[in-house]
Amino acid sequence: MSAAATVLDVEESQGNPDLIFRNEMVALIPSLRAFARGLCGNPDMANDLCQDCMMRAWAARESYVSGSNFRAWMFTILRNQFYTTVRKNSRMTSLDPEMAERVLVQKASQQDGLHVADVANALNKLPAEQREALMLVGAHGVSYEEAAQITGCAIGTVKSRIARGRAALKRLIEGDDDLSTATG
Amino acid sequence: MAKPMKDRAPPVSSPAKTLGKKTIIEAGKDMTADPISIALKRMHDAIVDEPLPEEFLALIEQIDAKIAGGKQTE
Repeated sequence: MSAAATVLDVEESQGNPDLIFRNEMVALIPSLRAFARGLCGNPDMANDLCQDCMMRAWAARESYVSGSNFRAWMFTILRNQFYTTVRKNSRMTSLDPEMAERVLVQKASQQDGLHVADVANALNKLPAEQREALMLVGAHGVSYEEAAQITGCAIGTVKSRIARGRAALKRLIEGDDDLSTATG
Repeated sequence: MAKPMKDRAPPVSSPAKTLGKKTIIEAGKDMTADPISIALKRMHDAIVDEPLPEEFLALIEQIDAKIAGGKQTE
């Protein structure tokens, strides 16, 4: 069953802020899962992270300002939850075996022969702050402003992390495992 | 007879050349044009297209029950 199939009737939700909130949250689950997977690199952990995020968001729903950026609000909760968890676990990221198997059979980019599997492997070796910036802007297509809001840093910092992350990804894909000049 | 250089229209730069690094570094939406971002987007899309795991459906049912039962059940 898809997330869309679980969205309740729009007319039914009119005037019920809890239903509106619920529908927005359910519609966002696929993106939340993708963001969580990018952050922690492990599908089971990512799903746990998403469910924790949803429960926290639901508990805090009255603090959400209706009409503001719901995706940024949810991503921020998920990100905070990730960093809370990562402090308790020294090593969170690992290659997602399901993803690896899936992307390994995908064709390389027509433009440059770049394999998604190579990028997935390399991404998991980056520092978390570079990984999240690349995922937010490169994969989710959020603006630099929204990425800065979600990560709680300046727009310039987001741009810098993306530039360093991209440079590190390129080196890793080309076979250089030394990230000593790309961290931070 | 060919026109003298000063009478010719200036050469038109291709869009890609005009944007240059700005496409990748400065404009978030335009990042979709570069190979690494294409790969990142594919990774993202592969996860988004996955069926929703059962545990999420169970969580949604819990939320629905809370909505149906009102705030006193929370």
